[in-house]
Amino acid sequence: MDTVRRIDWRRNWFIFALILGAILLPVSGPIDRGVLRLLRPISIFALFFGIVGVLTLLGAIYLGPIAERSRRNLRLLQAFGALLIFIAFLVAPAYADNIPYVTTYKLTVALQWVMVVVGINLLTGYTGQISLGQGAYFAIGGYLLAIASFREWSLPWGVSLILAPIFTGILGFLFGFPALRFKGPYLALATLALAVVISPVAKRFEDFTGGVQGIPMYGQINTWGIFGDDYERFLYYFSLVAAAAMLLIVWNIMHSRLGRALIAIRDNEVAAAAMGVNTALYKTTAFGIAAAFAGFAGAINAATIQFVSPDQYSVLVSIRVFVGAVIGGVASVLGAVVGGLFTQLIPDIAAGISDAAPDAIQAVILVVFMYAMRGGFAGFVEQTWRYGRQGVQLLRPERAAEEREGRAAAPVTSSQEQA
Amino acid sequence: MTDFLQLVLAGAADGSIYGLLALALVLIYRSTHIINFGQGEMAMFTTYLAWSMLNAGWPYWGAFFGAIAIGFVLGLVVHRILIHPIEGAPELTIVIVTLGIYLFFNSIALWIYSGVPKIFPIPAGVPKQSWDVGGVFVVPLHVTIFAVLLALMLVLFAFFRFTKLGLAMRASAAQPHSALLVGISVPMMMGLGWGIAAMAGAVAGLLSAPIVVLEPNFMATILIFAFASATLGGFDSPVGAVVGGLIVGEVSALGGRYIEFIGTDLQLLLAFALIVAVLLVRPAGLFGRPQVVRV
Repeated sequence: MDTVRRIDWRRNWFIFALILGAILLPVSGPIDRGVLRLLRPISIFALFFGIVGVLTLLGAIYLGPIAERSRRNLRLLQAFGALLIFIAFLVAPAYADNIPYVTTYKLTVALQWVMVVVGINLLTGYTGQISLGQGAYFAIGGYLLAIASFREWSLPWGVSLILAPIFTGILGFLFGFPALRFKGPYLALATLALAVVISPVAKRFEDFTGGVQGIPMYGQINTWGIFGDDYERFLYYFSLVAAAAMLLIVWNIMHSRLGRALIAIRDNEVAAAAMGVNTALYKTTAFGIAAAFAGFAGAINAATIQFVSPDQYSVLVSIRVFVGAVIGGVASVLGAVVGGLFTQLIPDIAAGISDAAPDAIQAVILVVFMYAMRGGFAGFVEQTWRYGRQGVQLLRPERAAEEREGRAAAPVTSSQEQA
Repeated sequence: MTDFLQLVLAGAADGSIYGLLALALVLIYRSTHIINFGQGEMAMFTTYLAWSMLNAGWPYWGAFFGAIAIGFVLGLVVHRILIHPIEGAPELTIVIVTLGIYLFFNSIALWIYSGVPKIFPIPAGVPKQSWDVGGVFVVPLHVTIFAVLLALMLVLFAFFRFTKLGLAMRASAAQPHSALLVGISVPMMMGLGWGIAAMAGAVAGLLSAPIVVLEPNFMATILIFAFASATLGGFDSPVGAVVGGLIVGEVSALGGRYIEFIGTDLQLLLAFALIVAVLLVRPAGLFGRPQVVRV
């Protein structure tokens, strides 16, 4: 009995991580030599996971009972959490310059990655279709905006911004049809090839795309009078609202008929088909939505950078975004937010340490995650939460019993489900 | 006509390189049922190591075989520490880890050697001057690449067909559980498969570096062509990989020349179209055996 009651340190590793990070962070500040420079990001990471772990645990202990009482409570708590994150993003630009490695511009781009990542989450995490080619739609969206609003025609950029996701969405939907026949790694292979092909194609159609020179987008983009002419802040808040809208869309899809069909397809396609799910239609729809998100992100990204060229859309874009999605947690809306931030910030942080090999550090993190936390960041939070709930039941049986009674007394059918 | 023959020769040379890398992909697929997205980057990295050795004053062939040996060890090590622990994991995990291999070697090479393109010499003893055969210029390097491909094919065939080790490797690829029961160390055989594949990849890198320039991304496009070759030939057939490589080489050379729209820039698009078409029409490839899945 006592062995059960004692705290399981192996599952509480993040408490060690917290202590380790707290010790290492001040120590690692002045050290600036060779490999030792790695200490600082490692300690930041440890501290980060420690804080998240402890907070999750506290949340599980004190908020868990409330969440488990009824489904409505759970939803309310989740909405409250989402609101907190949203508010954090709302006020972020005011403090951006004080946070190391962060600027408003970088956060803007990170939000655009969030849009791509949430598409990957829908397609890969929920539907089980591995797509390494989202960078291709990202590039097409960017080029569409540049060509339609700046080079060939002078459509208002708002119109191009609407056209971009429609166009890429249709492309994605169409690509979904051949992709129906590709299984597992073959799909990854075909989509990776798609990502590689896009940049030579952009170079080839010089008349439209400006070839290697790219298309510079001179002149400010019309901000419709919002924020005066503070272009940077306008784009930040625009991206924030758009990303939030997309997260909301995916959240709603996942809790609708379509979402349940997609999950069924991921878990067992044959069974899903046998239950009457139109697998072909749903899969191509998922492809289309993911591509539309990536296309929109690409368009707004091009407006932010004010430049498109074939070189900025190399295959590494697709791979980095995918990596971000995986590290954030591929089947989770929260994971998409973390994944987007990760995609943008980690290469910068890594470049800050050793001016090169940022991708190598990313690769190492990736492999470590695949060993230790396959669910990514969101999976970590979820596991810790569940572990915290079990811990409460083991450590304080009388309290758990109380909670159970409370739940039994509640009129609504309670749900164990953790979304 | 000479123009056409010239193109066919060039296509065969390119195709041999694609075939070599496709061979590497196929060997790994056969031994562990993984499509290794990092194959090209591993080959690129060993080529850089050979470049370092050459700079340190090694003779060409010393560096050549040195790099191949390192490639073998690299394949073994990568399998041991990265692939073996996640055996049986979901598809997504495996794809991600091989992408990690891609990112890792790509950025390590960029870090150590910078992105400045380097010139890699052609094999020592191979004349630089083209031979004029009835109006068609035959580049000795191209002939060498083709010969190396054929030689490697023969050696591998003999190895798998006539040696005990080769038999053990085939057994562990076909029936891992039964192979374990008769005393074959299946993980060891899989590691060997990765090692041999990395060797083949290293050869592809060493021979293609003189044609294109040596820079950290030079294998990325070749990898796509190799994917197309392996898909066309069938991912579980070494012969298919080589034949597929030659076909892809010819198609992209001739297509680039005779289809105006494609030109030299869009040969990659051709490879992509080929991948999609083959997967649509005949997913197992020309020489592959279709997989039957029981539900």
